[in-house]
Amino acid sequence: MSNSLIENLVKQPYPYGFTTAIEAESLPPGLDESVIRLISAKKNEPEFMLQWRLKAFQHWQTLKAPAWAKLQHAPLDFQTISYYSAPKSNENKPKSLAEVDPQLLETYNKLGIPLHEHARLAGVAVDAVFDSVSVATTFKAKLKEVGVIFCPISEALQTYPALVEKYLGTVVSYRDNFYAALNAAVFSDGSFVYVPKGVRCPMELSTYFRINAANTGQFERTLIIADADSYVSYLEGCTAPMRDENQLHAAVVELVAMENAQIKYATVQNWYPGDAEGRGGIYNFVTKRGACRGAHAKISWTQIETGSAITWKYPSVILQGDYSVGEFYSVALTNHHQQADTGTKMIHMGKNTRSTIIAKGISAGFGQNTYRGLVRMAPTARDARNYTQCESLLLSEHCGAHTFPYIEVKNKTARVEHEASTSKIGEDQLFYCRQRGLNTEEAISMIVNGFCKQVFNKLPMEFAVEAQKLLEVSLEGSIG
Amino acid sequence: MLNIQELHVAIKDDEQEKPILHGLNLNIQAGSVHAIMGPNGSGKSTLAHFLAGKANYVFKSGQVDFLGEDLLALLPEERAARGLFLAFQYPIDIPGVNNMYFLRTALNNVRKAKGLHPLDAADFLLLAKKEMQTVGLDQSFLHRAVNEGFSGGEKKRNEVLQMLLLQPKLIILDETDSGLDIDSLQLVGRAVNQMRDNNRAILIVTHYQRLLDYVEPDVVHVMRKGQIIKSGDKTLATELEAKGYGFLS
Amino acid sequence: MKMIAVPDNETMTDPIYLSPTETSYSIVLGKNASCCIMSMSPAPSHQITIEQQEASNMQYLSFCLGSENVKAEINIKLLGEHATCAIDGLDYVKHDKQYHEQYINIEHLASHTQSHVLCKGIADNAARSLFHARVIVAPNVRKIIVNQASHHIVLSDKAEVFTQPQLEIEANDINCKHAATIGQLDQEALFYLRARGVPMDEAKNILLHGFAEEVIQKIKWLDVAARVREWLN
Repeated sequence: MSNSLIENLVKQPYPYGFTTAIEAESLPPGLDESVIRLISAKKNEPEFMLQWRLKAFQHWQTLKAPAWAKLQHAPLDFQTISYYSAPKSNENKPKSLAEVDPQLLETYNKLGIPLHEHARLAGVAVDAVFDSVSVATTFKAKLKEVGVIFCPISEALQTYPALVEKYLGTVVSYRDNFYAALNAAVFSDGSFVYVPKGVRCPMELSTYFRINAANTGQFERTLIIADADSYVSYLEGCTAPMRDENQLHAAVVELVAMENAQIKYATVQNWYPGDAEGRGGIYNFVTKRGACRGAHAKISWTQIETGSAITWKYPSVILQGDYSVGEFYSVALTNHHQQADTGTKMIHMGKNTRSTIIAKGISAGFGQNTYRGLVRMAPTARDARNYTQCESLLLSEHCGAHTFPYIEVKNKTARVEHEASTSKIGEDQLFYCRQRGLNTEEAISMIVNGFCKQVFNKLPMEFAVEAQKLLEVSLEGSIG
Repeated sequence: MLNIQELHVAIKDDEQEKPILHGLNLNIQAGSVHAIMGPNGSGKSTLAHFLAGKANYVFKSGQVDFLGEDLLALLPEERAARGLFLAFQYPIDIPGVNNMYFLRTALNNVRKAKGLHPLDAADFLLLAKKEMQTVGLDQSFLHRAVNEGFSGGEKKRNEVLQMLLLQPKLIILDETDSGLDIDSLQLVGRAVNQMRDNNRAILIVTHYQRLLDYVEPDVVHVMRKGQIIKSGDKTLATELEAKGYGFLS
Repeated sequence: MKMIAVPDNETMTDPIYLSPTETSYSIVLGKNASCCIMSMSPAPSHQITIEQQEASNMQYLSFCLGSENVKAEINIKLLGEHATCAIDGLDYVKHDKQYHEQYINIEHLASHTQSHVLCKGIADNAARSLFHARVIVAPNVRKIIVNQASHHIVLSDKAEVFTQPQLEIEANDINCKHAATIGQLDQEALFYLRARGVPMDEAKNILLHGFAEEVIQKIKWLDVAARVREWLN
């Protein structure tokens, strides 16, 4: 069993590469204050929002793009990107699915999320985002019944401005980093969720992203607030068409969990990864952070990352409330020339806080996979606990896997346990499966699945299957 | 069933090739039980693994026919689909892969090759339960990861379980008796005897007489330095046990 | 800078003790050479660069049990096939503002090489212990084994422990594991000892000794090991 057999298996072309011929209304490339004002005006935002954006933009201009991650990429020229693109037919917002441009809906069908289907299934409320503008939000009525607000941020700014102002930027301030500042200045839309006290959100919430027009960076901003004793589960999934020029995706996600509240945030990410020679592909630079503000709050991040040319994201949890819990479950696959530098930060401040990190990396082709994690136990984090498990699976001779954990403990009752291992798929394991009649593809798929099982188990049921298929597709190919 | 002629095989270790089999000849008819005995380094395990299709061996020359087909032209899974089964000496663990799922997938692949419909989870469970009793493995082993945390004896029983489920035509047992206690040995012996059939052949690779007390061979071969140097009936095994391998030189 | 060359096929029967006055070393091990480098308190901050040729074997033992501040930097290049290195260290920092920082860099540049790192630390009062280990496996090397373990016990609230075990792997024929733990003395074990009549301080001592024992057993010279055990008291 040679390495080339395994390598042939990971050379599947990207199945979602197509474009929709819709007239998009885009701003010319370039970024200056006038672009910011235009974006805010187009969305008819309240004054505080414009001021916030401008402050963020001014701050951004003083910063330089970070270069410390173990990533190699051509420096981005931020003046060559257009910062807004909306499909023209959305000028007058649709009031129901029946009013949405059918070509748009067809695009979503192609991507595998028929909105009509969802309306009937009554399972998941989907807020589909097409190039910076939310197209349709199903199930608004049902959620309204229990008091759950789930709508585009642009709409929330109209209907609940005080609520947004109270929480926006409190978990990820525009001062946090270069991309957070950029996002704060030019974000165009994203999801806003508010779950009132004591309410268990009756369905899985989901958003589906897509980047269509060439040279459009996509800047989503999502804000989810779970008030005391509430529960919400949210899924974010994305895909994008083939392009030659790299496209930027710099999103910000803020989660706030109050006392006894629980937020589950799952991401299945499949942005265009670049072709076999490493051209094109999405640059995915994301800041995601959750704050467990109240006691016994819980925030779980689950991510399956198979796309993007470059991924830079560290979903983190600030464990302020005593007994709060942070979890991070991740499977990151890098193939061809993909590079991923991803991980998490668990900041323990409260007493008896707990965090669990399970990070699995699969590297194939010439992919580079890096785990970067920070576990910090502050002096106030008495009896806090962390358990971290990092595993890397190497599928080719040219890929790389790296781990950079940083562990800081500043009190004597905190406990940290970290284990990591890196290996390649055992030839013996493969041979064993094949001797029992499975072919190489099936065997690798089975072994890789077994490897990822711990993480797949954390996904909402509907999406666990999708995630498994996605991994198979990403590793499929012809056997030479 | 299996016809090997003048087989020369080398093992690949890093960049170097080391010849192991030097012109081995072996003919196994359906319905028979053969045993291959020999000292360490004689090439017994190499033969077993080479026949199953393990990658780090280099075929130099010779001919191997299995059920009339050129065995060496087939991939390992194709050999399995045609009924070749190797019970490993050191079965490997596969973490995270559920034993039942693994067994059912393997069985369904073999069934597909035979033109049979696949078994669904319920039917498979019924079948598995029955055979698990035969090998003395508790139900819970179905829900554990393949071989993970299994004791040596349990791993061997898991191999025999697979044999019973897959119903192969040529069963190769590679030192299956090593490390087994008496009870396990009896159990394995019984299961293997259960498989004896006019359409099946069994090849037992072993150091010791022990398993051969339970599964009586029709033919016993002695291997040394990559060749079969003597063949006889089961009394040859008794002779070896008494006199050691030295007496043959 | 002190240069030490261990010739081909030479096994040094005595350990090379780091001098209290020398801060920089360059050590080369020839083919099949073997040596042990010992850093004992009081040791100054030091920087060691080691290059290992084929089948050479190097052990670096470090026992920082005194009151000094130490920043130790160990850089190892495994250049020849079948070279192996082991780093075994124990540090016990207990004075306010005392620190012990260890920066280990190991590069696997040839096939069939192994590196084993076992570092244990105890931090008390307002002292600080830092462990940073970086293992780099170059592309196209095969059959690499990497084992890294770092375990710390924190005895007080003002003590600080920083652990950064890093792996940079560019080859795929490897077996790498690392484990890191930070915590306090086993409370159940402590109680058990006390319930049998052992006073708290002595019980703590017994457990700390047990913690340290794994590293002390890596010392081949029994008299040195005995001395270290004494020191720990």
